[in-house]
Order: sequence, then C-alpha cells, then structure tokens
Amino acid sequence: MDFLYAYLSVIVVFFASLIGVEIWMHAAKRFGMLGEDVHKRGRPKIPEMGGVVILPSLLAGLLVLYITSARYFFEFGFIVAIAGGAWLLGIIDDVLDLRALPKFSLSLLIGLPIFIFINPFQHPLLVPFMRPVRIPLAYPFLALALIGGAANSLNSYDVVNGSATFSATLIATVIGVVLFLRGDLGLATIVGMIAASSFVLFIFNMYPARLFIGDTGSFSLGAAIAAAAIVSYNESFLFVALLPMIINAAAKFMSVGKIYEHHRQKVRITYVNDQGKIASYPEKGAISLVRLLVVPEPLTEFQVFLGLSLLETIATVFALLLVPFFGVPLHW
Amino acid sequence: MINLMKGFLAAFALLCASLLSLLGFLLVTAELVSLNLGYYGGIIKFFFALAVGVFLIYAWYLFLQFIFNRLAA
Repeated sequence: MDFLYAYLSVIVVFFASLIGVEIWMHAAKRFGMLGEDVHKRGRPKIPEMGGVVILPSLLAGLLVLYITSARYFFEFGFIVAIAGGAWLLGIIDDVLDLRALPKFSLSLLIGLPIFIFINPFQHPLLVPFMRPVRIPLAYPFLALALIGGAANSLNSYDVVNGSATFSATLIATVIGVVLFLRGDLGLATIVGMIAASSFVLFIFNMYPARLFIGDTGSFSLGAAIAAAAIVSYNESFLFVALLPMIINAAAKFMSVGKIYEHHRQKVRITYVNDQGKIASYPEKGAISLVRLLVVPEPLTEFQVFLGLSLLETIATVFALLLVPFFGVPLHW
Repeated sequence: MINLMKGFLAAFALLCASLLSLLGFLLVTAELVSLNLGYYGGIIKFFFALAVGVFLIYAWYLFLQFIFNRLAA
C-alpha cells in the first residue's frame, strides 16, 4: 500500500466528516434535534447526534480503499460492521432514550461480527511481559466485553464538552502510530481514518461546543476503536489507554451498586453553581471522575475538560510505554 | 491553585493504583502460568487468579472511597 493512498483515504474521511457535520448541523437545527448544554448558564440548545456522520465518512474511506488498493478490505469491513452496529444502537438510544440495562446488554452484542470476520477461538492475545496467550474459550467473551465496554465507557466519559472526542482522537492516533511503527501501514491508515473522523467531531464538540456527538457518536467511536484494536492485536494497549474511562465507569457502578443512566438518577451528584462552575453536592451518591475532580473546589467546564483530557493523555502515555514489551518488533 | 489541582491529583493517584493493580495481576498470572501444579493445576490456578483479581478490585474500591471521603471532608 502506497503512502499516497494512505494520505488520500485519511483526507477523504476528514473532508467527508467535515461536510457531513456541516450538513447535519443545519438539518438538526431545522428539524429541532437540539440538546441542552447543561453545564452552561442559560442552558443553550445546540444540535444533537453529530455522530451520525461517522459511518458515512468511514464508508467514503472504504470506497477510496477499495478503488486504490484491494488489500485490507477485510479488516476495514470488520471495523465498519462493528461501528455500524454501534451506530445503529446509538441512533436508537438517542431517539428512544433506552434505559441503562437494555442499552448495556445490547451493546455487548455489537461485537458479534467477530464470529464472521475473525476466528476468535484462535486469536492470540498480546500481553506485556508475557508470550502471546491463546485462550480459545474465553477470548470471544473478552472481545465482546471489550467492544461493548469501550463503547459504553466512552459514552460515560462524554460528560463535558470535548472530553470523549478528544480521548477517542488521541487513542486512535496513538494506535495508528504504533501500527505504523510495527510496519503495518494499511491498518495504520484505517485507524487514521477513525482518528480523522473523531478529530472533526472534536473541532465542533470542543469547549464551547457547537455540536453534541450524542450516544451515536460515542458508541460508534468506542466500538470502532475497539474493533481496530482487536484486528491489530492491540487489546491490552487499548485496555490501559481506556483506564480513566474504565475507572469512571467502575467508580460509578461500584458506588451505586447498579448500572444507571445519569439523567435518570434521583440523587444528583453535580450541579452548576452561581458562578457558572461545576460543583459537587455534599450528599452521598455516585462517585464519578468529574465529581472527584470538583469535590475540593468547584471548577469551570473547561477546567474539568482539561483534567479529564490530561488523565486520558497520561493513560495513553502509560500504554505507549508498555508497547516495547508486547513482543512485536518495532521499526523506528 | 493547590485546591484546584487536588481533585486531579486524586484522580491521578487512582489511575496509578489501577495500573499498578493491573501490572501486579499480570505478574501473578505470569508466575502462575509457569507453575506445574499437577492434574487439577488449571482449576487451582484459575480460582487463585480470580481471588487475586477480586481482592485487587475490592482494595481499589476501598482506596477510591478513602480518597473521596478525605477530599469531601
């Protein structure tokens, strides 16, 4: 695969996402698909469900890949199939507002294409400091949990403007760089396409947001990144890079004792105070990463975004430090 | 400034604790895999690894509560 084709595919996805977002923002305003920005004074209404552009833009990339190079079509098909399932579930959730448990259960089914596209019973798992492990009976369940878990944890990290899109862009970019260093330009290009689409959404979603990605966006990005990690043997890398999101989801689950939807909770844990800063209620309740950040002192939405993004960056650096210990040679 | 950073430092400590737990679990598992414990070795290793995992998750949760209560006090 040529460098030129790789650049071309990524650029096509970038511009397809950019055009898609512009069109979607107009359409959403026209059809009243607006969501409240709850962390700002006056709660301005901005277009929702921006994540709908992800699948069409990835399909545009797939078309370019098909025209320019017949290789990697299979891997990209796998990622698009997984992202497509997540995209559909995200749209259903955004429109129907599903309850937490059905949403979580359905998200575990997103990864079912692994049985069609890859052989999960023979798939080796690369673990740092160990030889590649084969766990034929457990791997399919691990893969389903990783895809569903990544989609849900990215969704639960989408609490302030830009936090989820920044994290998704960073993780996808770093996985792309790791694959490039391993000499796999084709897969690096595919992950680069996910990063390009996510970056466009980040431009519009960063503080102050002009667009929400919705569950459609967070689900598709999370699932697409997890699928890319599975097909490129980067599951352990992804797990470490996702640690802040896993910590957030685990802390919420363990402190409440059940899976729940934030906006359905009777006991609210954070609120916007008179100065427009996010503050924590003194009552006992769920412990989330945002609540942990604002417990000592109320913070502005941008400061919370910086905190979450910095945590994600540190986790990604940790994951990057483990890369030389995966046993796959790198070509500097 | 220090107050602004306190929450972040707590979250960072939690991240480090998670990573250390993960590495500890990996090292224990790697050590277990290399042991030869006879016919029932596989099941013994599985349950031992499970117990270590549950212990680490519980210890992590206690650490989370400790940090949160210290910050909220």
